[in-house]
Amino acid sequence: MEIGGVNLLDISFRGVHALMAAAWLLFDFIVFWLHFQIKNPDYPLDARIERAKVMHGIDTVVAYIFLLMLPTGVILCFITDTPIFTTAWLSWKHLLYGLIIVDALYLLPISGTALRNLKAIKDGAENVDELNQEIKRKMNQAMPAVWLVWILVFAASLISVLNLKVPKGQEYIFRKTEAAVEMKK
Amino acid sequence: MFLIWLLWLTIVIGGFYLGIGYALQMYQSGFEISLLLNALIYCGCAMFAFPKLVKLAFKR
Repeated sequence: MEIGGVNLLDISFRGVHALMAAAWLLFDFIVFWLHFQIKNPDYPLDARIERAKVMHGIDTVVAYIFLLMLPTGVILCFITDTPIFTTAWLSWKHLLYGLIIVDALYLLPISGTALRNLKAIKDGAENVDELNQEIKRKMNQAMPAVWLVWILVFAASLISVLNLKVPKGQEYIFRKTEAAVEMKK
Repeated sequence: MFLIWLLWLTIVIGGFYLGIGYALQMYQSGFEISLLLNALIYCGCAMFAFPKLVKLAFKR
């Protein structure tokens, strides 16, 4: 479907794919920023719980982005006539995504520990120090992996941007010139 | 629960699709390091996730 030389299907999937990468980078950074107060036992408990809830919510959104990135990317390959297995830059990009999957599988058991422990402290658990230490330990364990994901997403985005194709016969990436639209008519 | 299903389904289906695809590509066009690493990583992730998906399906 085309309007004014713009292929709506192509631009929608390119847009969604790029926006998801941008959101992923932003949300990962917010998670990193939030974790400082959550793991700090000197901070008020209610504020820590509130931040842990926000962090958990953002993590859920990031999980959806992470999972939907693959199908939208594969669909985008079909729309833009990019062979999936024979395009060199794409196989390197897939390799980065594969590493992100490994990273996600590592982060999966750690996710939710902070919120669970903080709720337990609020409910009057006796081993407060132990629970706080577990939060700190798990978060310190997770943050290098979160940064690795950030770097990998950034690198994958860079690879994509450097290999953006202008469709054959088009001067602009996202739309045909008026002359090309007229010629098609 | 939906997210857990989506997680294991995506990793199993996507992992086998890309892993087997890259392995077949390497078989057809010869050795290339990115093809090998992709085949290993994606098949590995899919094989790791497959028992978890089966467990999730049969637990209900």
